[in-house]
Amino acid sequence: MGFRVNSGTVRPEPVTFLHDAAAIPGYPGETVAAALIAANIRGFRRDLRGRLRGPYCNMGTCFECVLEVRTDSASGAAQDDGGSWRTVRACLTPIRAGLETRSPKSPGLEDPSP
Amino acid sequence: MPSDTCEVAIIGGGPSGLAAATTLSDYGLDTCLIDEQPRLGGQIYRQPPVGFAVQSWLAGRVYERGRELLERAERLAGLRHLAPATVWGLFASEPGCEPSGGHHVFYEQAGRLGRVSARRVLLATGCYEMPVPFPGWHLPGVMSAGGMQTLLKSQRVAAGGHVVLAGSHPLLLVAAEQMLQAGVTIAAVVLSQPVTTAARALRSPAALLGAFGQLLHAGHCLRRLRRARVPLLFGRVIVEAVGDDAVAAVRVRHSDFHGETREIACDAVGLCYGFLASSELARQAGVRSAWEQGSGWVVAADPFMRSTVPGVSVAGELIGVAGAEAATLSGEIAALGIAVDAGRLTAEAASARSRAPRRRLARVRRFAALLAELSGPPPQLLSRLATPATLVCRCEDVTIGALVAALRAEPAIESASAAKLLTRVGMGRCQGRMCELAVRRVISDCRGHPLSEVESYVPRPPVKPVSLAALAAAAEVPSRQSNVDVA
Repeated sequence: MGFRVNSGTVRPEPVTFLHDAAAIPGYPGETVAAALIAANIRGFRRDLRGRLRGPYCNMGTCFECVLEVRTDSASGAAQDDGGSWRTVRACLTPIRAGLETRSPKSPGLEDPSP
Repeated sequence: MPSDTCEVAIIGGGPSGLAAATTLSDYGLDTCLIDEQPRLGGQIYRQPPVGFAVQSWLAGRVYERGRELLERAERLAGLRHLAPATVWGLFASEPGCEPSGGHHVFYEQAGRLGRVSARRVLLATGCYEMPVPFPGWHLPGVMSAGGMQTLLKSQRVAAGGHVVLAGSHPLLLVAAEQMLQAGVTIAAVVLSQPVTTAARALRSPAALLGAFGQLLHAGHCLRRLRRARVPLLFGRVIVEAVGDDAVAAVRVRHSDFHGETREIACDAVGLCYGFLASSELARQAGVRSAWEQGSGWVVAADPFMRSTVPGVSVAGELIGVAGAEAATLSGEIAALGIAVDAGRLTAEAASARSRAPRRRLARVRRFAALLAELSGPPPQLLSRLATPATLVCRCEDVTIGALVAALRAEPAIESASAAKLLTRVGMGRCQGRMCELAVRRVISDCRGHPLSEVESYVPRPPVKPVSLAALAAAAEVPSRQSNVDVA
């Protein structure tokens, strides 16, 4: 499994963020992709046939690592699955305390081609 | 929508963008550098996040010049650094409008659109690893080797504990050695070339002359991997990655597909079969380009790196993939050309100042061509790796088999764009970057046309996805339409 390399690395104070409602540890400035890989979460989304997919290029080219971030978390208004979410690339999204992410709902899953 | 103006807009913060920015500052040109990463450096010099301190970051002599360049660029007082921002379109300004003869650069930043208008634009958008479809390459844990490397060097996260690196490029040796240092078990390094070809590259006269520090570095890494008893498999390829929710093993065979298949357990796989120029934005802007084996769609440029579109220059991998040193040199030369066009430098002075970097660039590029020959996989191998069930378009979940069936059913399909209309290949979020080469290769194989003659997807804006919400929020009625009645 993936892991953080600690030798020769000084990181800021750790924070937690929520991914699919689970608390994930990380460090401010770390990307969501890196923090999820370090937490042994390999699949970030499901493809049109329901298979898990994870980061491929780690530089914003492949769009395999897309997930959604909550954009209204500061208001605290939404209690359920509602609220507004924005699609981002996990490899380009830095984490911060209170960040909320989720796997995207696959638009194709209602009608998966065999 | 935020909009800004500057004399020169540079797209890309890697070696060529940095070299251009530092050179332009010598001539007092107001420059804005736009990049997708939060910090300068591109992928090769990708920095750790602000607030991190990494002792071994870019350690070693091979990165010395890169570190210097980065430090110099970060100290530039006049340079505006717009990041992280994703540029999605480049549009020529209309005749009679400002910037006269220039371009509008549209970008997305944190879900909002913005615009930078500049008289001159330098595209320094780099490259990405050549995607090579094979069964199971969509499994989580299968990554590009460069992606794994940046994850480690910048984020200090290892992609797995038991890693296989595979492909044909010397970068694999460098990445494997770095991961080994970080405490990763390298289950195997699988190189498609026979050991004799690899040895030829490492012992080539150019390498011995030190014309390419990177390759010497790869040789050094190879020795360290040997000492650590890392299994180095020459003349072998991964024919399949297997696992349920993530990769659990790879199947390895002789590159000629003879003999037995051997399974190697692993929890991550890093691939590198070479690189393709990331020239989508340049081609969207209308530059002339041509397909080059080992570099992808390469942009035509004059000796000062001006493309065929007035006001648009290119540098780095866009003129042919040749590595960081070549990118730095071409960035400097492109900046000199821009300084001439802006009236800050005479043509004579520019040719004098460009003489030394030009000579060095020619040498480095000659060597890069030799390296590409030795480190690229034979095309037949790539065609053989993809089975009918293999995903070719990862975004739209289209298999090689579905593509071939469509090509058989519709004999008129001869280009990637035509295949896209019928099968949805290339229609997804990556805009065809991950599948275009494989789609064109399948068309080339099916139709018997040379690969270089199979047309690409038509590069259109947005070259990276933009949400409708961002577009709607940015929608503005241009003032010249304010007097027009809406019928």
